[in-house]
Amino acid sequence: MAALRMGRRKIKSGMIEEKTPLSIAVDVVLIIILLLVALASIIPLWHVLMASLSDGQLLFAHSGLVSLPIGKINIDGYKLILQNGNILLGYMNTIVYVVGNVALGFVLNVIGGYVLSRKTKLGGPLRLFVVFTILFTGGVVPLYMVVRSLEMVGTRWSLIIPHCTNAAFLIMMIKAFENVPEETVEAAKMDGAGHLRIMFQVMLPQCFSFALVTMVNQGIIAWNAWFSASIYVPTNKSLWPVQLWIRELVASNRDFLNWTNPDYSRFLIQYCVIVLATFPLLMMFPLFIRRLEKGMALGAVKG
Amino acid sequence: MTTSIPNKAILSHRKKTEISNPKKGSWKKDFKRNGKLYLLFIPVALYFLIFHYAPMFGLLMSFQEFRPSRGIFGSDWIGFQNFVDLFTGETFLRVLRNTSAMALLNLTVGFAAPVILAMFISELHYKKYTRSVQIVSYMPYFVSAVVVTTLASEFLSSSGALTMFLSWFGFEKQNWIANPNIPVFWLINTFIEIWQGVGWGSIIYIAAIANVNSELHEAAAMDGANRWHRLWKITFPTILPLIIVMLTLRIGLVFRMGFDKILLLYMPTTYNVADVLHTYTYRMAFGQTVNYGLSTASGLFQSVIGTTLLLVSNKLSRKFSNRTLI
Repeated sequence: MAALRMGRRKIKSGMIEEKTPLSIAVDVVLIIILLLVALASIIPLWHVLMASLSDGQLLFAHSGLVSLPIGKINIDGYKLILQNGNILLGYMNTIVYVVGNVALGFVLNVIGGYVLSRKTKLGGPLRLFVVFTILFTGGVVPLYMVVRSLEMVGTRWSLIIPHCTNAAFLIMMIKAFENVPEETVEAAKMDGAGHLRIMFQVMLPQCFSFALVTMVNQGIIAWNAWFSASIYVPTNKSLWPVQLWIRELVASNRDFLNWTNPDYSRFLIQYCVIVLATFPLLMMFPLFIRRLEKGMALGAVKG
Repeated sequence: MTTSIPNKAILSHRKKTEISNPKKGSWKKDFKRNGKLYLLFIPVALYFLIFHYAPMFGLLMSFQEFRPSRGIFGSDWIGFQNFVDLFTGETFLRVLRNTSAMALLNLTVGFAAPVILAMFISELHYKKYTRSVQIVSYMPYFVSAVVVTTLASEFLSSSGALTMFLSWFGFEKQNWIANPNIPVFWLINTFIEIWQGVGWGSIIYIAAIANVNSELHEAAAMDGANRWHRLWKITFPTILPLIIVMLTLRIGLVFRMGFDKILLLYMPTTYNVADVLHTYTYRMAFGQTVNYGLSTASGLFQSVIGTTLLLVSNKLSRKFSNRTLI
């Protein structure tokens, strides 16, 4: 955690800058390379955004990059989405799945993290019990059979419970709880606080940034998930998350021209849905980025 | 499956786990003292038992002619027949070849890209500029697999922007995604991995480089070491242990990641070059011809390879850097 902070301070105090011609040339080359990296990252996303605002028919005939909206700027595609109950429902479903996954994962991570961070005799074996799931997995089909035998296939639960957390997140929370000063816990115990109180009111506030990292990661995973839905609710479209709708729209647009009366604004929909499904995350991640970076960098700093 | 594990979370110090080892004492006393804690743990234990351990038990299906209607207790046992079918099937060798080729590309080019980017970013001292580049380069990481593959199909289609770009260099205009020739799909897959992961993957190295003692750099500069020397003699050696850990970690997980993009990108015409163990397992269970036993056998084979790689790389990691995965 300290690394990023220290890193910034160091930079402010200034490193050794030489102004030899060679050094300047190197700087220029680096600036150009990094510019290309940034452009490569952003161009495809920009392309989609601009395409979603284009004229459908002209866009369909267009080939190559869309750097500015083609034809008259319009929001026909977005209007169609608002009229199309399916995609709005898909949106709602995605939100339900994200909230469900994050909430359930949070509870399990906090409880598991707390219990396994305490010094108990069973703690070691229990840790092994959790870590072993990283080492060995049953795979897709046996998991499907388990979910099926619980009669969760075809229900929302199949998209909320099975992937709500994993050993990596749990281990992260164990470490977070371990880092909370033991004195505060002892003090709370003196005051007669129970486990739940110690866990949620005393310890969690002191390591909340770690919990947030697991929650944000879990949220991103759930928001972008499509595979589980494609096997657990393949035909029940009213339960589809928005990602599955994107897949469906793109696939149906492949034989777009076969339609007797092609409505070109339909062709726009796929871009509009991609924008609506992607840009919320892109808008939100800068809010969390410092904490996420800290979470990522944690291992590096400890080393 | 589709989860991306925050790599750092599972790195742990040996020492630390040893410290937290429980003190000696009788089990009875321990249960009296910590019984409530163990009760609290029950939901977590249930989650892992049902959704992680029960599927392991389900691997028994690979020794059965499994029929969903009869369940795991009612299906006929057929010994190793599924494995014989798997290993002698004509698709197996090509699937193994594709899996290894893409894993290898992932471990070399895919692994090096974030390290190199981190060095470039750290080497440049216009921090506002590099910070902006960094933030922008994170963006693809947040894009979903469905959207990434849609974008790739579009940019690489016969009228796509990348296809046009490539045509300037003499490559024929074509739908690259459908190209069944050997390295094309492998390179596309690697390219997508890099596009999505290079910025995000560089975070950890940038943090590590920022941690390099700046006095070292100053002292070296005093002694007349130029930038290049300092990069190779100070920065690189300092982050080398981290690079080794990350590489071993990646070796351990390479068989477990990123198959859903392949699943979204490949098509019958490119099965020959794009089919990997994951997608093969998937198709045998959820495709046209369903063979749960064979699919589970393939899944078990994949899991065993994954576990072996993980254990070996964990051992290597401990040897080289005293840090372990598990």
